[in-house]
Amino acid sequence: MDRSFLSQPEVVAASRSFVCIRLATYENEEEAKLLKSIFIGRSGELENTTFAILDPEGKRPLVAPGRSPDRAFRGATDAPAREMAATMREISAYYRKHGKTHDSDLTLPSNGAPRLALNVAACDNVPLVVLHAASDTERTRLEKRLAPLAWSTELAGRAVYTVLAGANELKLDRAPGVKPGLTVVAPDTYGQSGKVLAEISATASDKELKAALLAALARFTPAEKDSRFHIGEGRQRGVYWKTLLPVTDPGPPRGQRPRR
Amino acid sequence: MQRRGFITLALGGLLAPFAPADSAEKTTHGNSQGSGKIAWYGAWKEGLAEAKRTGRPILLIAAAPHCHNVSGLW
Repeated sequence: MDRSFLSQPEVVAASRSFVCIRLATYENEEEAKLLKSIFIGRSGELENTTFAILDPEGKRPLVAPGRSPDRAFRGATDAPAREMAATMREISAYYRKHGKTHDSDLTLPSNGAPRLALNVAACDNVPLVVLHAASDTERTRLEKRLAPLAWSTELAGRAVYTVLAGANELKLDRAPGVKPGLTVVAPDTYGQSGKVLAEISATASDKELKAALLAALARFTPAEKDSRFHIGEGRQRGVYWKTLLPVTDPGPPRGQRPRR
Repeated sequence: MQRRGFITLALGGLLAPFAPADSAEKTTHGNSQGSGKIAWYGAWKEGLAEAKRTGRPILLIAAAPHCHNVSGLW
């Protein structure tokens, strides 16, 4: 993923007027088809990464889609991330100006099944917040309470969220004891298991919920990751990720492959 | 500043009336400055439903949560 764009403060600020969707490539057949319909590289197959800015119907690309924002913004100016942010601001201003944007709150940005969400949290180097509920009604209620917190200035982008359906969906250092409620988990560096940082009961008030979440996030120490070391150690330990679909990325072109 | 990133043809000239790039943005809890990271929906179906409901454009990224098949790294 191209951190040179997506971690820039201007791009992050502009993203708050968008619905930001990050799909895990090779994990969902329908999404894979969608991604292939948006961008196909020279290989003709689904590649590891895709970038697009789309209209609210998800149909029209508003900038050139590609493997990364590079295609649309690199070369446009000497400050491509700034260019991307400016373009995003223009796009969101257009939809607001034409009355197409409703000023309503967003729902909880959840990240799919717990196993994948734990790995995503490890990739992002942030904690995973797990929702437990005994019924759909309870889950919906909890999600509605959590959503404004997840989008608050203090918490936006600081955690990954998932809903636990079964007891054995996550490998944790201890079984979550709060039902209904939240378990805040620190993923291990490979996102295969986790350590419980905090448990928060759904009976907590909104104020208590926010305070407990902030306290749990403050206890989280992000891992320092060196990609070469991470991959080397991961291979030695046999920590592999099994994708749902076959990986079809051709890898970097000859001449750009790292030396072994 | 020239916006070479746009596909103006795709919008059929709709971008012309865009407000200036630095125009002030209205802030709701869904678009506050936040803590320095983008908050993502992890599923297309859910994210698209939110985009349609709120009329917001979509920033879409796909990435594999593994590097050389080793998890924990984009």
